[in-house]
Amino acid sequence: MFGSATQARNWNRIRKRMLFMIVIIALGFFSLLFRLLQLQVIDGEAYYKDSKRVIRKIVVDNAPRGQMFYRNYQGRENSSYVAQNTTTLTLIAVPDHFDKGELYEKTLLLEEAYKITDKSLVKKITPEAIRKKMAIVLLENLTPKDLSILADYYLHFHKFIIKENTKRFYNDGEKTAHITGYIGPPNKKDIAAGIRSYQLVGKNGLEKYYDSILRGQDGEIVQITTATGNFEEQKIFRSFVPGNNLVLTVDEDLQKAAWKSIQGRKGAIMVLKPATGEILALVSQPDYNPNTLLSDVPGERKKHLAYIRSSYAEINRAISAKFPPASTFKPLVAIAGMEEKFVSSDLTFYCPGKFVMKSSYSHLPDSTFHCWKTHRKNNLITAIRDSCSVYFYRLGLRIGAEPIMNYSRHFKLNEVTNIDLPGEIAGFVPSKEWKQSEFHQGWYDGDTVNLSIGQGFIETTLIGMVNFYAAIASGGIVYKPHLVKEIRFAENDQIKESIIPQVLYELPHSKLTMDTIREGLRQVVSKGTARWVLNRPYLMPIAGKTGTVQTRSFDRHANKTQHAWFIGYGPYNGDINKTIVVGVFIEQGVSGSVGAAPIAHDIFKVWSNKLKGNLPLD
Amino acid sequence: MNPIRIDWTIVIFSITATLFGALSLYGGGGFGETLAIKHLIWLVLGIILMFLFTFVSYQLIGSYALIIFGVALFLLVITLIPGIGAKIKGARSWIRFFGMGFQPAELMKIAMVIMLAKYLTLKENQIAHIKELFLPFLLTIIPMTLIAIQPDLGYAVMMLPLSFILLFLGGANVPILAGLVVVGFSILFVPMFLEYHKYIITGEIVKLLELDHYNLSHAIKSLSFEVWRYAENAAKYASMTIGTTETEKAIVTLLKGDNLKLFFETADTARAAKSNFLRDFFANDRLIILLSISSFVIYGVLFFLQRFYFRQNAAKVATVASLILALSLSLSFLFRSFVSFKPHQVVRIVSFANPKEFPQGAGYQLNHSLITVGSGKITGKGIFQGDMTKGDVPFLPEWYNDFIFPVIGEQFGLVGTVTALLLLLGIVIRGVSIAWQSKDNFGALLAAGITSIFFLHIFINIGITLGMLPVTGIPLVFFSYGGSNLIVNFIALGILMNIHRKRLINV
Repeated sequence: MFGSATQARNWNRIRKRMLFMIVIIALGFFSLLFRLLQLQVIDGEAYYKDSKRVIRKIVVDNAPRGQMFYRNYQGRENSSYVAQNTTTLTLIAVPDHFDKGELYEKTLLLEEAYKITDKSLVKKITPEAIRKKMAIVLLENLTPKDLSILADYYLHFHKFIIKENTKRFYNDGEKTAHITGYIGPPNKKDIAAGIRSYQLVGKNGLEKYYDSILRGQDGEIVQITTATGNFEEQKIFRSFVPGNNLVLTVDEDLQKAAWKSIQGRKGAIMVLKPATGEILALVSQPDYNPNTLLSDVPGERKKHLAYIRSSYAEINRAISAKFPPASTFKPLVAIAGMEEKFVSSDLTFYCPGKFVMKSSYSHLPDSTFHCWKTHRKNNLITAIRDSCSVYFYRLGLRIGAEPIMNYSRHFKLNEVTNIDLPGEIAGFVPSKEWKQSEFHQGWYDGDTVNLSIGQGFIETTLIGMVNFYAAIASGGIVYKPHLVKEIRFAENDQIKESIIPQVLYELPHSKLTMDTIREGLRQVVSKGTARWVLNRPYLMPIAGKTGTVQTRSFDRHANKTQHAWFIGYGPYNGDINKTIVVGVFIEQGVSGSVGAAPIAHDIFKVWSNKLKGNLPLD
Repeated sequence: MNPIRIDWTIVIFSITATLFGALSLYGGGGFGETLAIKHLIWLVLGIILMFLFTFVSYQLIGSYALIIFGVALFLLVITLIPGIGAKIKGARSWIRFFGMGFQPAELMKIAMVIMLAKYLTLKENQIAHIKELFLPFLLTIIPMTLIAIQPDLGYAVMMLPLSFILLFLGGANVPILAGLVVVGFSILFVPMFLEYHKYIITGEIVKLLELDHYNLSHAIKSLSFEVWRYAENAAKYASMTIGTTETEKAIVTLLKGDNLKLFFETADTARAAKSNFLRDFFANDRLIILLSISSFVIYGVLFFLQRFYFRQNAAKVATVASLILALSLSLSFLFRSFVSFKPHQVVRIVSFANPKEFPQGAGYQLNHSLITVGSGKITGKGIFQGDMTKGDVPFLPEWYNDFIFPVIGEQFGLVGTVTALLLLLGIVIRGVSIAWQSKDNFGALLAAGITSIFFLHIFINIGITLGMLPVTGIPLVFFSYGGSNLIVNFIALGILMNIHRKRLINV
């Protein structure tokens, strides 16, 4: 049988060792069998239950975002919303929850119940939607009446799902767009900062500045469903913490009046309460509608974004744009002159309509600076009243550039005010060093002449100038401008934090100086450039100053290229707590008295009515 | 007695098993229907090949052993080349030709069995010397490494016991084999044993990471004292102020971005600052170095004594034992120094020990496998009634492939699983009896090797699905969906049947 004895010996050894292998195989199969008995017989029932109940899903329970209210807050029910969360109900069908053909049948019944005759609901149930297992939206914005119909026919319609959609809604839309800003999905930077991709974050305005306060903290719900998707039980793993509500300093009437008055123009309005630094109204034009940016209608959002980009509507022109202050700067020059004892209120200059400055070099021609009309004799008060440029040219030369710049810095025209809005920029106050480094030229007297009427290099923001006039109105103390008055808990409506006014700067100027300037500003309205607009019997006494920015244009009479300013306060010499400062800036506004003062008129009119008691005050 | 002497037991059992597999695929629902049809097509092809190989002499196959092994090795190598090998589920273990995928590892296991059987038959008696084991060692290690770097750990792990069974049957020295097993196991398990506390901690931390979307800080509060102390030390070392919240923050910071290594390093350094000699001694490498050196010294002394003074068997055994101890300790130290387990591997081990603690990640597959097989109870839920295999995203991933056995259990219960087990057992028993009956040593070894392949596939696969072994991917023969596996299985059966045909012929 075998070739050799070795082979035979090996044959025997293989058989002997194969017995060992057989034992191992037997052990292996027996262990598997015992394990099967354990799993399927002993623990079978428990595993059976597990197989019927295996999905545990964590569902995010979105925390409602904090809402915003206008300043006259009297509890949530009685106050006007600036931004709120609205809930809409939607009826949804999930094809998986229905048997074959059942969905179609029930939808027909649904149409019958709602008296829909054009088959619009049935048309939504496409074979594609069923194949892709999409949730089909059948009815939107369900009313209580719709819900009662669903409840009446509960046995027929219980497989449909009613879904709550929470949406941010800005009650006054574009009217408060630059205050509220808007919300949107987070970008990469937000996600890196720990925001979940399903959360919404503030993109601009207060929504952005107070994002962490408004957002709250999302909760989590554990849903346990069976393997076939039937809902079984739900428990809250972590309850959400709602975002805090904001009560704004913004006055509803003033804000709406301001928005209405600036329609069709490009520019900004700011109304400030100098006693506290509260901003009563803030409007910038062109504007945008934050509700459109949250729209579900396809394409609408994209279209609006394109419009915003092309018109630069997102820029808040009150805090994020700077222009030369023009004649509104003159009171500052006057303060500098009086405080540094270069001038007293009775100093007189003669205005022949233009000012000729002798050139320092014989080969260069003399420079001529014009005034807007021939004023003849002027003292300080009448010069402010009539906005006489020649007076300020000469005054400026007498004071010199340095004190004017220093006073501009004292009034913080070159700094941000730290208002609670994103995107604020600082104004610009030139210096001799700056000119040297930028133009490689010294500071010329011509530059001083330009500076003394607020033209040339100097640029200010509207908010900076409004603060300056608030300093004049209040006699020196200026508070940090802010838009939020109170932060309240959404749960119990208790005040979490009241914003206490912070002093931004304080100027120790003599009473004589301030009274002189105030008198000048009062006369602007009572007798001067703004007389024909603001000197009305139904308005309270107002003080203010117009300004017209001459832009670089070859044609002096091309009025369209001139920007208009008006900044004023009222009531004049009244109770500081009832005083408001109104700043208006209009791009290409012809001139201060034509373009800006009429807008201020509308706002002062509302405020007068409030003071008289025709409209609620605070 | 049939004239062509076909082993009908094998034919009937294998075809029945495959049909049962197709039925379970069909009943699984979802895409199982199309898979079942494909499974049947493969079955037809497999039957043809099986009968074809029944008439190919196994001695002829044996004489081409080197070529077959070479081809299989070549295919394994080219699988690793990105252009040729297809990457499926992270492993480059497939070759594509004529629009079909083929898994060279399947061919390799047969080729290795043929090669080893041939080698052992040729060497006959001399295999008792350890140097004769060097070539079989290479023949195992090379394909194993190639498969392991694909990476297809299931097949790679299978190669070792397969080669050991063949060497054992082929007459290798039992103490040497046992020594190798001891050394191998200690290389794997001694470091694990020494660092077991770290494994537990890693497990708890990874559990935390899985719970990240729950309330993390809440979960951190429920950590074990050990982990808490680690974290505290780590936080201290990172010179953070200590307080409950700070420690929580420290844990979170350290855990972010797979920073487990940093976590342990800082914690260890912090611990060293506050040293406790005894604890450090046992936790650190010093112990293992000391032990391995001393066991080498003992080995040297014993070797010297045994060589020149005592020549008793007991002395010999003691010498060999001390050598094995020395080798395993020193090698495991080396292994530990150069190869450290990655967190996900650690988690796999820890989660195998306690799957319920890891519901989402590592333990997910095993948990669902147990639920699937257990929920069938005795009679099963019935065909098409399985809860775990339905839908586009079934609760039991890979159910049609490596986890077909639980699916049988769910649909047909204990009755189904025991039937499947008996069908497979029948094939294995038949294989053993063919090996037993073979008059030729090569035939016996070849048949035993092929039977071992089947047995290992069955035991490892079912053992995994029933939670008796850590999860690695390996299909269940005849039941799992997969063309190359089915074809190679039927070819192997064909070879078995050829050995059976020639059992009466003298060589």
